[in-house]
Amino acid sequence: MKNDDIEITLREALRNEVAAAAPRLEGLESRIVTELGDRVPRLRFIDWARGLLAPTRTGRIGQLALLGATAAVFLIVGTLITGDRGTAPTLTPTLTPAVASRASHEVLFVVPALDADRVAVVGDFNAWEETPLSDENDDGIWTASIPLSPGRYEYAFVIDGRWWGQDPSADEYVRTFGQYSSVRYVGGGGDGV
Amino acid sequence: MRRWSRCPLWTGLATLLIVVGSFAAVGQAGLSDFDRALSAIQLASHDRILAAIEEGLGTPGFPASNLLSLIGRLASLPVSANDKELILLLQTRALEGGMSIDGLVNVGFDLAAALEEGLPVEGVILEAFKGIAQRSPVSVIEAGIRQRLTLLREVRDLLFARGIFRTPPGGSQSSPNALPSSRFDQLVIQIADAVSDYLEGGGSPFEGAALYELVADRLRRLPATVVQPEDVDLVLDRIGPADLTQVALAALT
Repeated sequence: MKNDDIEITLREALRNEVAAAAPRLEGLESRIVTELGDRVPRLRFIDWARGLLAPTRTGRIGQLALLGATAAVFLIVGTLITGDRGTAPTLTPTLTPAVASRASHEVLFVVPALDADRVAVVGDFNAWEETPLSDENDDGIWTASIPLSPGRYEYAFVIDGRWWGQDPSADEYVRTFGQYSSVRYVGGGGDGV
Repeated sequence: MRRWSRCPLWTGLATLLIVVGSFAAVGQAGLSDFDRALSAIQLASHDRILAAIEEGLGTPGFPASNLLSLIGRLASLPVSANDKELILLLQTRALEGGMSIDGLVNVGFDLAAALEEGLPVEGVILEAFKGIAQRSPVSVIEAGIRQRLTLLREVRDLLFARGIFRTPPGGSQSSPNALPSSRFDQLVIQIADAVSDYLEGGGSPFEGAALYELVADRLRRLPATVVQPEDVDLVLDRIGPADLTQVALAALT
C-alpha cells in the first residue's frame, strides 16, 4: 500500500471514530459543569464570598468591614466555647477510621470516561486501594465525593484497569515509578478545595 | 524392582531424600506459626494478612522463614501497631497482586530498623503501595523505598545540624528550635518527599536553587494544620540550596 493510501485510510478511520463519538461528546463541558454544581452546592457560597472580596467601585470598604466583623464574632464565640489558645495540630492523614472521622472537606473527584465499565480513584487517602466512582445517569461522567482532612494528596484514576494520572483539575503532578499522579491540596495553602 | 531395592546406592539415596524432606517439612513455617506470630501484634487486618500468607505458602520459593522472622522482629518493636501493620500490608498487597515478596521482606527489615530509629516511615510505605497499584516491578519499588528512607535520614540529620531539634513526646519545649516530634516529623516527611519527587521527575541534584524553590513551594502550600508557617520560616531560613544538593546526592549514591 502506498503512503498516500495509508494516510487516506487513517484519515477515514479517524473521521469515522470522531463521528461515532460525536453524539456522546455533545454538551460534555456543560454536563460536567452541571454535575459539579449539583454535587458541590457550597460552591455558591464560595462564589458569594469571592464576590464580597472582589474590588468594586462602591462598597468595598463596607464589604471588608462586614467580613471583619463576622470573623471577629466567630473568633470571640469560638474562644468562649472552646477556651482553645492554640494547640499543636494533629497531623498526618492516615488510614485509620478515627482519622477519617476528622475529615472536614468533601473533595469531589470527576473524570469523563465515556465508554468505561469501571472507574476508580486511588490515592494516599485510601492507601492506593480503589474507591469506585459512579456514573448514575450514564452520561460518561464518573464522580466520587471523598471526605478528607486538610493536607496534600496524591491520586490517580484507574479506568478499566488502566492508570490515568493526569487529572486536569489537579493542583500539580508528580512522577513516581515512571508514571504520573495528580496532586491536590485540601484545606488552604494551595489551590485545592 | 528387586534389583533396584537391593542396590545400596539407590537405597541410601532414597533414605537421604526422605530424611532431607522431613527436615525441610519441619523447618518450613506453617500457617499456624504465622497465625501465632501475627496474634502477638494487634492487627486490624490480621485475617487479610493471614489469607495472603496462606496463598503464598502454596507457591514455590515463598520466603516463609524470612517473613516469619520479620513478623517476630516487628512484634518486638516498641512502636505503634499501625506502623507495623503497614509493613505487613506491604507484603500482603504484593502477594495479592501476584508479586514475589523476596525483596520486599528484606525491605521490611529496613523499614523496621527505620521505625526503631524513630523515622516517620508511613509516607514511604504509602509510596510503595502506589508502586504496587501501578504494577511497577518489585525491584523498582525496593529501590524507591530505600532511596526515600535515605532521604528521611539525611533530612533529619540536616535539621539537627542546623539546630532544629525534636522534643520527645511529653517532653517540654526547651528552646524555640526544639519542635514537638509531630511537627518536626512533618518537616522531615515533606522535605524528603519533595526532594524525592524532584529526583524522580528527572531533576538534577546539582541545580540546588531549583530544588530549594520546589521544597519551599511545597512547604508554603501545605495547610497550617499539616505544617505550621513558623516552622516553614524556621527551616527555610536555616537550610540552603547547597544543603539540599548534598541531601539529594546522598540519596543517589
